Amino acid sequence: MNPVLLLAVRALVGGALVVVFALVGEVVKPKRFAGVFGAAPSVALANLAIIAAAEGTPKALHETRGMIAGGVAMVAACAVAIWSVRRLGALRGTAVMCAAWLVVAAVARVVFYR
Amino acid sequence: MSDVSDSLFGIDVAKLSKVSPRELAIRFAFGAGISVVSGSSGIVLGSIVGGMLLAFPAIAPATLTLIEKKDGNTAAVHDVGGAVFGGIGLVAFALVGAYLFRRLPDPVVLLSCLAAWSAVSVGVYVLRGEKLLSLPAVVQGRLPGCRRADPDAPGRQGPPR
Repeated sequence: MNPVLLLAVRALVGGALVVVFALVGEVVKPKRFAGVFGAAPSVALANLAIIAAAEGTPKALHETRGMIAGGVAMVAACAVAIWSVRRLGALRGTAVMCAAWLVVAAVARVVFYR
Repeated sequence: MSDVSDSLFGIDVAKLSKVSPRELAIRFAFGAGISVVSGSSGIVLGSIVGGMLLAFPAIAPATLTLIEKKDGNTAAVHDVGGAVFGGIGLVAFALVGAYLFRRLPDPVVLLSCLAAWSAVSVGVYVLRGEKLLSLPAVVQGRLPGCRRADPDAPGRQGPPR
């Protein structure tokens, strides 16, 4: 499949699944439970499905292996965000959160994936 | 064990009417954006990096900013506290996928991954809510509803003491 078309399909399906999980997060309560859906595997599900279908299982497997470290970085980033969002507000707090994810992910990339 | 459903779970379908198309469009855009970034990174930097980005908190800035604007800072903090459990579920999702891809048909693998995420994230959330699981102090947050105002109540609320 044409790489640009593949990216477009990934974007469409990824965005759609994010909306679906976001709607689930909107109707459930309390906020702590709704937050679980903020880390739902919407992007991962959409993209891995398309990768497996268009590029094959081995590629999906490699990406899933990378996702392990991404998930660990996500836990670390959310933990940082509990502090940073409280102290700095949502916008700056999530910027710190994303920076934390990048740091942890970069370390994991260097240490665990050679 | 206390009545789990009263304090830990609830559904309010009426809230759907308060979700604006603009909010959904923003979330769609962030989801689409990270999908493109992940795909492009996978091409340029390899599948491992592309895969890592599948767990990047791309949606968080939009979601938490919207929540803070509508329901206050405390609600946003509680929301991201819940995301810790979702993140733990993401690790489970990836571990199951890494094990099952090439062993089972791809659709079965993806459903299994989703089931693993659901079971682990909700399970850890319930165990934590029932105080059956200790998490490191750095990831602890207060549970909603006890001893102070409901974080789901509208209006701006200051940071907790």
